[in-house]
Amino acid sequence: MITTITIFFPLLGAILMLLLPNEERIIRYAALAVAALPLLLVTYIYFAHGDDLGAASLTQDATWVESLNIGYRVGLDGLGFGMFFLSALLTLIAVVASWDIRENLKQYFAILFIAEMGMLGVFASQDLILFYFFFEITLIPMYLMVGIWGDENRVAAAIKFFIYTFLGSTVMLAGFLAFGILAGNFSIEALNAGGGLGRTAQIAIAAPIVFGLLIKVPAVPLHSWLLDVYVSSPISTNVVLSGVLPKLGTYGLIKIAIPLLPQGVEPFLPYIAAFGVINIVYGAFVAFLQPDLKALVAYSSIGTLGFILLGAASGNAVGINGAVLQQVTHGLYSALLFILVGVIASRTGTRRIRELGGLAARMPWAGGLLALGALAAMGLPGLAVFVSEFMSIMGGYAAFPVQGAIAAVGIVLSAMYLLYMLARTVFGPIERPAYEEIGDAGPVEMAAVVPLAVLLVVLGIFPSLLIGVQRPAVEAVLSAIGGS
Amino acid sequence: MDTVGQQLIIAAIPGLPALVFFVLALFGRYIKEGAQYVAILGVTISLVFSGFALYFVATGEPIDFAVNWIDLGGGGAFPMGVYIDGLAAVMLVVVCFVSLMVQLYSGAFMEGDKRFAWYYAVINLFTASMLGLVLAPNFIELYFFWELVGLCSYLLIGHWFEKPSARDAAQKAFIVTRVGDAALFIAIIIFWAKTGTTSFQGISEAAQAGFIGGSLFTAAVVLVFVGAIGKSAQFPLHVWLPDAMEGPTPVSALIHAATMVAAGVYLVARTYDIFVQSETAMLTVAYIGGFTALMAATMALVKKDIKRVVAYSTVSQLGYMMLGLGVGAYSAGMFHLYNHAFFKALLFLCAGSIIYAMNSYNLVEMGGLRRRMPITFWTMVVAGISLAGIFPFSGFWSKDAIVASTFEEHYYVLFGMALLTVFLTAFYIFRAIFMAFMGEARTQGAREAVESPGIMTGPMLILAVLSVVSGLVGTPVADYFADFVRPSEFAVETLGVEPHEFSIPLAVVSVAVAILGIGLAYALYARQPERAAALARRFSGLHTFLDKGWYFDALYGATFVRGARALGRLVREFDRTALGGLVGGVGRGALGTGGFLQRLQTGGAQNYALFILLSVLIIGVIVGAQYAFLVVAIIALITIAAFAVGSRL
Repeated sequence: MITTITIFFPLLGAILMLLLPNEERIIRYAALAVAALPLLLVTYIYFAHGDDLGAASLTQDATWVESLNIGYRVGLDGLGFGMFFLSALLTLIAVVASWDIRENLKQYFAILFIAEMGMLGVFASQDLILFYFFFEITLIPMYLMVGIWGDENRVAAAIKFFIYTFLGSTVMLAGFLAFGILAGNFSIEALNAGGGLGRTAQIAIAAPIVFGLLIKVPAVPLHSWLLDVYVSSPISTNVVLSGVLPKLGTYGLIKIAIPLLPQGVEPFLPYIAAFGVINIVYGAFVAFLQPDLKALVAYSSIGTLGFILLGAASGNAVGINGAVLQQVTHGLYSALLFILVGVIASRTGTRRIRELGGLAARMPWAGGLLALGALAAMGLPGLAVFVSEFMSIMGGYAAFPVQGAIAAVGIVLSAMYLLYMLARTVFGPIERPAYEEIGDAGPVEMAAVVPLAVLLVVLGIFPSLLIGVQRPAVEAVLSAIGGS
Repeated sequence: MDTVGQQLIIAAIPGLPALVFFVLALFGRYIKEGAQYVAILGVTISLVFSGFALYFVATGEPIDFAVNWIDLGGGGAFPMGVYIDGLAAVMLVVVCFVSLMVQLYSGAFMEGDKRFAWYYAVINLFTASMLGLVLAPNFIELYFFWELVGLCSYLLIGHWFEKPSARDAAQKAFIVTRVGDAALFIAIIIFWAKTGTTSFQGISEAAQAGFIGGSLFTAAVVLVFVGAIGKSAQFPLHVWLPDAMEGPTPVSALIHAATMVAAGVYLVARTYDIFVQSETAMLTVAYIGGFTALMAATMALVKKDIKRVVAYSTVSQLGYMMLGLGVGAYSAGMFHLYNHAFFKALLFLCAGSIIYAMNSYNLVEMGGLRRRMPITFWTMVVAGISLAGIFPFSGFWSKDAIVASTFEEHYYVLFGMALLTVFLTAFYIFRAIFMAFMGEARTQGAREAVESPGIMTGPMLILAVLSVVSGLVGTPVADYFADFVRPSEFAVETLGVEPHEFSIPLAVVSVAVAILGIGLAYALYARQPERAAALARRFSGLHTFLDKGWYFDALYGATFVRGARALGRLVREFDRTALGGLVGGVGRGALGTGGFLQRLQTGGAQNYALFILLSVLIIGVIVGAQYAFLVVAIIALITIAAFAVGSRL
């Protein structure tokens, strides 16, 4: 029941938003309250049930379409818990970071909360159709958030985003339908390890599902929607858009494609790993000379997401645990960086790297935290991304040595472009006289980024806080692969 | 001493500086100048505890404990723990001691710096990371701290980041060492994938048992060494260290003596049981070390920047240490690391003292300082004699042991290189000393220089005493050091090297060569400086070649840096035109402007389709082409579908 409450409370919040009077203060405080509750519930679940999330627990199961065996089946397990938590956290942070939204504030928050419901729902779904349902629910709010509140290029960007990801999810749905109908059930639990289907059928079903999910991630060369969308979005949309949305794709791989169709995805695994490596290398090179700070951060995401693909494809405990964790750690650092890019742009009036420089002297906190985020992105130990990255690479290497070794080289590439970025934005001489006057991040801005920074450090030093929760569920995935 | 108490004491050794880091990083702006006292208190306690650790190990067994950092149940585990033998215990003391000296000295040197507390915060994180690295019993833990050490040197080299040269030097240091780090990381995953463990002990045993061997093992060991090359600034990744002089001078002392560059040498010593199992790897270590020692010494000959002379000297001396480890003289190599820590820290603090006094790095602008700054003069002479390896100063004992070992193990080429380096070393360091302190003051700044305050000369004097006597624990009469810091029995058996016998003829030769070098420096720079200038003019081509550091920077700039940029530009253009073309097309097409069809005609979409096919081919090659056909078919189909959808909108 608590799962269902957590998922649907934001919907209630969205309705509440629309009923509020048109006063900015009230709206903002109410939105904070609405966003805080799911996070509190998830935190409670972590402490009360964190140790027994091997199989789906806190479940609820109601048949929906009896003839096809479709049901409202929700429950939390260790694979989804991290992202379930992150969705709630980043929604709250997005509310805090929504200072650049000035018009139609109520509607913005309402849409954000509908998106939150979709995200929470995806990570708690235990039924294929329900998964698809929530998966799609996230799409339209995101489309609207970019299309209405984005910058001047927003409409084209939003449509691009919609077409690509809609194409992806439609292809995926085709796979789901074929799977469920052939196996006679849509329950994820019942479909474990192939749901009784043979190898050929599994391959045929896995192909569209994997393809649809790879668009969502996005895997290079299916990534071209990403840049315009990320760059055009308002900052608070970026937080969710980069922090959670790509994980719908990777989570689908880890939760559905791999354990449910072990024989079907098996021939694709080397390619998924190779896609991951291409993401890492390609993302780094494109990011290297990006003139726009926000575009650079967007491309760094492409690279970091590549590690998730590599780890997920590895089929061993280290790699999959790394991938599951990387989903969370990537969300933390990319949200941090996007917000700080927004802070810097609001002070200096530009996002062009060439026009920035020397900001750390005037903005020690914002500049320092930007450096922290960049260091996290390059996988520096002591920050959470390191743990998930090294596990993904190690697991990936054990399964696919060439891909794993190339991915390890990626750590040099990411250091290159991120240090280059830092040198030209926060370090060096102050670029423009006007920057002598700018102030550091204010209390609201700090409130948005400090929790992320703290989590990056804490999880970097004590990764077991999350790995302990996800490990039993990853073991279940492994037994599904091995038991096929 | 009960075990729990012992473990707490050991955990506190890196723990206290780490705590100081967090305190100063968060509250530094309120503590301000008080930061130094907090920091010095922390590191002093760490030093005392390191002394305890040394005592525990000297009187008992090596200390060894671990907890699971990441536990994956049946899927494996990554522990974090502690392993202290003689090697680690000595390193702990050296690191804490040098760090303490540097922190005392910095109080005056960095006074008035606007990021004073932050400076102390990072120095402490640096110390903590290096201590953690020393304690690590496995590769993952080592790598964890290894990277943090790299981060701290990045932050400290770039401490004055408003200066573009400091900013760029910091960036260069981080990226160049990260090339080594990536190699080390690949080695770690190879070991882990083959043996299922990351512990040094476990990997060594697994290799003995044959779980990993042949060319893969050799490759992995050499990759570990590439990691060490990056950190210890060995050829061909030495280019970052001279630039690292952009950082505050006390930081250079710390980086060059005890932290950062020592880490590479320490890594080879720590994993010696793995190294000895690959003859190729050992030879690589020896020859890279020997070559680097000679190469860096030649680069130091002509530098006008006093800090760069000392910096190249570090590269050269680290080469000696590697050379010692490579030819099997384990204790000698580590003994040199230990002695070097004191005299090299001292050299930097002396250089810093001059810089503090006259605000110039340039030897040409100095001259005649011996009367103005007597303490700095005499301590620097002591450090110089020790570096040159004159009996009975500390540098003599360890350097002689390394040089003699190359001779005894019949590496005559390496012996020749090492001996030549002895000559060059003595020459370049006394060239710098004579240029700075002898003759007449050449500028107003030099005429007005005054001796540095006691908080700076105090650590210098302490280090000067140690530069004389630290070697006495490892004399042929009573070699306590080699008894305490010794290779495992396994390593000794595998290598089959005899313990080094002190040889008086060899010692005489190496001291004579060093004195020759000092004499030449005296003749050229103290007696007749005009002859040195004339020589430099006569051989101006060679002079420039050495002054430019053999043109390594130019070479790397023209190849790797430009290559990476060109590739970056290419990929970015490609991403914008070929991939962006289609996407732009889809967007515009959907908006009803007809742009999509136009794009189709101008070729954007074809490019895109071509790219998809191309990337599939690349993937096919990577994976082995087994299923490439299937994937090509599917992706081609879906691409066509995508176009169909796009054009209908």
